[in-house]
Amino acid sequence: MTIAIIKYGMGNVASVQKALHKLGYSSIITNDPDEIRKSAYILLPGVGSFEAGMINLHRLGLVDLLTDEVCIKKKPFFGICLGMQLLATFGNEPHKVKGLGWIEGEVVKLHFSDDRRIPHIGWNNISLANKTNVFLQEFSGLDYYFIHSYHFVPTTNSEIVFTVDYGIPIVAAIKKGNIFATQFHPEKSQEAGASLLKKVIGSHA
Amino acid sequence: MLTSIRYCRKCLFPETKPDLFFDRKGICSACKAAESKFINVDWEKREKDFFTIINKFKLGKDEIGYDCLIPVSGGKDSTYQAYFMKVVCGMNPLCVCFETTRETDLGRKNLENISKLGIDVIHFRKNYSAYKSMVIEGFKRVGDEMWPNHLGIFTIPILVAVKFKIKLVIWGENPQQEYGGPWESIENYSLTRNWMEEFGGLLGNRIQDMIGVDGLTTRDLTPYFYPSDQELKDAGLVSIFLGHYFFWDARKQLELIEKHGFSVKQDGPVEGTYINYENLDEEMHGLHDYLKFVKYGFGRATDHACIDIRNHRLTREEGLKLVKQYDGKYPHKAIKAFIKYSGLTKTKIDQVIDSYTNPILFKMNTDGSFARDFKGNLIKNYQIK
Amino acid sequence: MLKCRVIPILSFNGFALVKTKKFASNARMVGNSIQAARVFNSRNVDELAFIDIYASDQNRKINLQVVKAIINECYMPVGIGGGVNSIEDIHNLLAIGADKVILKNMMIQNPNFLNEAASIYGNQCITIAVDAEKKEGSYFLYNRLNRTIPLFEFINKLTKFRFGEIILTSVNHDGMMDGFDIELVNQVVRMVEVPVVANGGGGQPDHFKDLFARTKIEAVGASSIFYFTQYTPLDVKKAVSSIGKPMRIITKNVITNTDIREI
Repeated sequence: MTIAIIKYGMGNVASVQKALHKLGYSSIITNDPDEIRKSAYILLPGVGSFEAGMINLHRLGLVDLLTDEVCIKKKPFFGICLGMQLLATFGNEPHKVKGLGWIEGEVVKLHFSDDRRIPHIGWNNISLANKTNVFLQEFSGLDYYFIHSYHFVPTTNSEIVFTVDYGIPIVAAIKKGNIFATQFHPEKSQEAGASLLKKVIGSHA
Repeated sequence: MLTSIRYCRKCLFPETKPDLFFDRKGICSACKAAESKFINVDWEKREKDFFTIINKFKLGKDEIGYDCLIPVSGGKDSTYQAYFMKVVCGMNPLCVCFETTRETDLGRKNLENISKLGIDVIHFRKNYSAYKSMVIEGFKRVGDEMWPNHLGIFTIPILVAVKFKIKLVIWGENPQQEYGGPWESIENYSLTRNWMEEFGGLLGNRIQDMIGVDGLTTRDLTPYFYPSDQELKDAGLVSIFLGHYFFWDARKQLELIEKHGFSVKQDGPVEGTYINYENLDEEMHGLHDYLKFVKYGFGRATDHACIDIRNHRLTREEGLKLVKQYDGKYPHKAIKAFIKYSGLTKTKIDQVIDSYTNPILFKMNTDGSFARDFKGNLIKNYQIK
Repeated sequence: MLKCRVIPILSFNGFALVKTKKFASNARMVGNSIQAARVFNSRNVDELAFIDIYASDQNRKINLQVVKAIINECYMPVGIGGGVNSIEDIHNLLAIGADKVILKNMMIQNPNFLNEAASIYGNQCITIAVDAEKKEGSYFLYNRLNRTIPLFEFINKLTKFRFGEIILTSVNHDGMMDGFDIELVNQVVRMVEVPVVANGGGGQPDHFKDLFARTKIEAVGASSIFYFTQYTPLDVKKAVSSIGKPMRIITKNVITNTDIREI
């Protein structure tokens, strides 16, 4: 099973590939339509602004391709950080921009009335949104690495798998059918991250 | 493009060596410390101080007990220390040797020789498998297969001193020249754990970092936990360096102990250098030395040449010639021994060595591998000046 | 709940790791960077910062091969700094896996660059290194550009620009292992919205306890303590945890795996 790590100029691809390699998964870093179509799994990483992310995806002709592969053909998908935020209907970084629209919701800036620090940087423990989710229970309570100033607010709660507490509950991970995405960086979260990647990706192997 | 490295004007130490400093004239701190031996030292006074100190601990012939403890390896320095304290000073030392990784025949013979000088020796035979796990992890994690040995040679003698209630511990040459003095300045001084962590060559790795390696537990690693500062204080341990009180001349000392049973290597120099009287006890020392070379660009031959230069036995030019001839060669013998000991393949071992090889110092091929000559030696990207 | 971070800071001189005292130029060579990276990775540290402290002075770029080799050892976030002064530099570092880029001289010479970088890569990738030197009771921004810059004025101006985090180092306490500059930390934390990493002076676990008890800091940097004493990041975390601060404590060491090299 080859995982296509989407290369769209938004950094972070090397670390993801390294983490996957360590778990024994083969992957290619690509934005070539044929290679993406041939792959068995699509991973969208990314750090950076929402607008820059969408501009790059459009420029590379990836928006329609990915939407086709993931939403129509139901290819398994894993999004990380910006790769989760871009799934939203709209983003706001630096101003309102249309996202991929695969999951209804908006990405908004973190804002606190006290002196809580922004960005949200560091290790924080995730909580299972739905206690009956047996599949992902083992990861509830573990610390993962977050680094973001914007967060995804979905329209409905049904797709929220994990939340994280940073003054307010923030969406840490979402799942909708074949789509799984995390706000945190599993590839940078040592053993906890590796086990999560293995569990989720492994379930589609 | 050649990398430019600064070398000491007097010896051959490069600026890449850890814990070395250069003064404005380009002389390194090791040379300056060695120089201070020749000038401005009242050796008479120091000798007096020394005997004042040891007389506080010396036991009479009618008493039961050891009055000092000497960590030994069976090497020339520690053999000399043992000889000096027993025969010259008339003390009753207990020698403690932490078994090296793979003892050579010569090493065994020289260690036996210490007991033949009329001294009790505790030869600590370590838990083979626990130690081996640390050797392999030390090799991979910090590029030093001798890692647990550095820890053991400090820790075990001190533990024994604490347990046997032997307060005076005799070390040899003082690597950190600033320590020493009359009784008043050293009476509360013992080499604490901090000293060992900073100067003991442990490369940032600590014993607690080895817990879990191959299932090792804290209990398995019992002898490697250094006594706490409080335990040292309660035991009243005092450490002194012979090198502070007496002019240290390794060659003269070697001549002396050769007359008392110490044997040197008869069939050529030790791997990685040009001399035959050092590092005789450990079969795989060549690997440790080579790892230092790939990390910093200088090996054991450089160390020895520098000592000889500082003791006025070689000129810098002569030293340079020897270094160019012997330094940093791929240690085929030690690697063979390490393959046998560790069970790792040569490819695997070379892979780890490559990960520690500094790409700024050594030439690389276009495919990212390091360039080598037909004997397997690395090609330098710098020149010793 | 967000955990407080303990971040080992590795200073690089273009060749190997060094440790300074009060930022003096005769730094002490401490060792090979790969062994340090592997030791810290085995300890599951929260994060690592790797800075080439002479890159700007020597007018060169940080060696990407060395950086890549270090990042390859780490399964936790890594911040890289040293001579970064163009978008291309940032791109190159992020492309080989760096999570944050640490800037210093650019924030003095051309703070607009911060905005430019942030607009492409997001604020969170941009960390600035603020070195504070106390002279005769007043704080100045330490720099080797020969400028006298009162510190707090400078920080005030800086808040108008975009960045994600500050590494605040006390030059006076750097390498001295004599405790942190509490007053400095408190002042700066009050002035900015972003997370601040306090650095400089941590020599034993009690210093860190003191820092977290008397300031609102949530992250701390350290170097000398890990090179020259028996204390590991775990000892520091346990000490800070004992005063009630949330810490990520993992006692299981990671065994070095040298199998996975070039992909």
